[in-house]
Amino acid sequence: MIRPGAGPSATLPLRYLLAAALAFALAALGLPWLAGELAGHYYHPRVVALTHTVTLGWITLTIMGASYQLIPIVLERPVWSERLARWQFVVLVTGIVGMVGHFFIAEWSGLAWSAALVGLGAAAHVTNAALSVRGLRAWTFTARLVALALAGLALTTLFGLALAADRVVKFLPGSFFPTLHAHFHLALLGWVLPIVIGVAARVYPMFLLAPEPRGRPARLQLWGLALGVPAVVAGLLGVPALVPAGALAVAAAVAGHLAWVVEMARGRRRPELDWGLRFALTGAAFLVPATLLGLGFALGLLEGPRVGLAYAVFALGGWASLTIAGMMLKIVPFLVWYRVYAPLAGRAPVPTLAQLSWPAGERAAYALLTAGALALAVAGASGDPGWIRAAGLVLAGGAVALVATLGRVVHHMMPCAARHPAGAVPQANAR
Amino acid sequence: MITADETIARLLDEHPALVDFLASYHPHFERLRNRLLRTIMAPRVTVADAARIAGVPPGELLAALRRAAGEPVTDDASPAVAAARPIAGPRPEALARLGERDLVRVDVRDDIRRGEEPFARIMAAVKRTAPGQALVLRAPFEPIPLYDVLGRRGFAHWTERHAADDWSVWFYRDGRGATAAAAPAAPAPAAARAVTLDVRGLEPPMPMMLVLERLDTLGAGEELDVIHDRRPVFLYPQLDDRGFAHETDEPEPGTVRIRIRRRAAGR
Repeated sequence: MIRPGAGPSATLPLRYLLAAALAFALAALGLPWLAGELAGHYYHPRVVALTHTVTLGWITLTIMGASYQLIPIVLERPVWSERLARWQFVVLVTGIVGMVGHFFIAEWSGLAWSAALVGLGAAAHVTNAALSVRGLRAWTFTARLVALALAGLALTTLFGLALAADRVVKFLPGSFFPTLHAHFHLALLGWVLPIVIGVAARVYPMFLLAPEPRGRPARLQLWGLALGVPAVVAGLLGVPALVPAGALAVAAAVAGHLAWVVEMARGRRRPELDWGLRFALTGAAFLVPATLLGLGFALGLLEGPRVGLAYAVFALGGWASLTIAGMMLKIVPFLVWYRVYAPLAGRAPVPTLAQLSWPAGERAAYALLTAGALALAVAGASGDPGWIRAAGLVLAGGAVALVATLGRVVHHMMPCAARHPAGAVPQANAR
Repeated sequence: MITADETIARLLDEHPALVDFLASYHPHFERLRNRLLRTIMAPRVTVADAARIAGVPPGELLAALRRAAGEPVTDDASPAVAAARPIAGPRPEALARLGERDLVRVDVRDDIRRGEEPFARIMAAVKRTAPGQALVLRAPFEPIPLYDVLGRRGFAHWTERHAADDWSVWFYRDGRGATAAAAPAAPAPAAARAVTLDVRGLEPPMPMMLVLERLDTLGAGEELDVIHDRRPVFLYPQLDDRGFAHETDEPEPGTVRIRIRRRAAGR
């Protein structure tokens, strides 16, 4: 139970989220520049650097930062140690910058050291989150998926460390690419997917003003991931017969999640969707092509790096990125509002969240990121550098619009803006 | 038995199915399906007020509600007519003196049609309204709940009805606090009186804003019972900072109740 008076910190999650947004902009701006490399095989040091900017810098930092806001809300537990979380941020960012940089220049001993730092940061997160949920009395759907995701993060990190060490001293058995694919899928399906669908089950109703989803899809999601992810990973590592069954189980979990998202969207009392929610719902739609392509690979119907790149773009650039962008557009304004305006609420005019936001920027980010992700998946499949560059430019425009939108919100934390809250309340509805 | 001076909040607590009945009874009551508007309006609007909002005789609505709830329809509707708020008279002199620059105008008709909450905008406009100025609120129905809320802040009101779905209400300070036009708030008894605020189903940070706004007007000896669908972990530090004591319990799964009162030492 939350101890009354022990309020969660607003600046702790914000630092993660803002660093993540910068990583996203950096990765998106790198897309047009790396179009030539992306037109080749995806295992190119610079493409791998780009991938880790997205997976670690953008996705993982966002999830960790959001966790430090959402653990108190969705699990009703205080964060075990905010000090540890602050140190974790420093260690992680240093490690991620080191990893991306060393991947980029293909320098493997530096990569291993940087990966060790990332491993340390991930261990701090797992420890902090695990101790935060320790003693939880009600293991809700969200709590179970968070636990599953923490196990996935721990295993992904160990796997990544082993891969990094293997670049220096070869010791891992088996072929390289199946091992690499296992690492990728452990991260995507074992860490990102469970935490996103677990938190979505609690947070989407809050923002859509919809009843919390219940029923059979919960079991489908839990068991689909708990059984499917180990099967996919074990299958890729050495028992290929497990891959189709594991992929089907994961696809069933995704179907359960999508059924809930549709149920919540239909049952919502909120008549008009804001851009954050449109991002999240569009992100969910990207799960359909990503899952179909994944099943295609698992069942042996698809192969090759071109379709592989399209699959990764649908999953990381489409589903994960759009969902995260949507959640950022909800979380960041709330944290800024809480930090700057909550102490004034009831005492002086304070803006609403809608008035903190910048709908034109959100609309531009939505249009460009959605179109860019779709175009990049198609261009990646075609392997045409010109098309990849064009799609990358669209995505980069969207990322810049997203960062600018968030920047306008964060600007309220500047002393001059905070000192004159009334000025932040427009006469007309900002939407 | 349902009475004319019973609030809609209490009515719907006791007879939840009457939401559908009210919504089908008159288009104005469709808004009760909107969780946020219900949260803001229902605790402050009596059955007699609701009848006036809808433009129907209070006795008629009372009888219809009793029939729908399976209660006997007795002949006590006429006191409800007497209890209804008086119709506004000619424009008060205090308003006739004001020029356009003395008016703070806020139009919430589109907000409400879109299903968005207008309360924060209205309260922000109230705070911008300096002494000597008037707030002119344009709404698609008579905003009777605001009469009490702003009456407690010393605002009198004068109401214009342009059409069934178009109202202007002028809130102004006439130096006497709440005027006869505004229904006087019920006097607080000597023992602690609990005021209930149901913020379930609202998007963050609206529950926190509504609670903090309400605390601003919490009278001496009053307690605020907040009904929430989760523990408001971001609200607790604000309550502590403002000198409020609070206790949280969970009367049923998925429902959290926070009882808030001023600490004896004050702020």
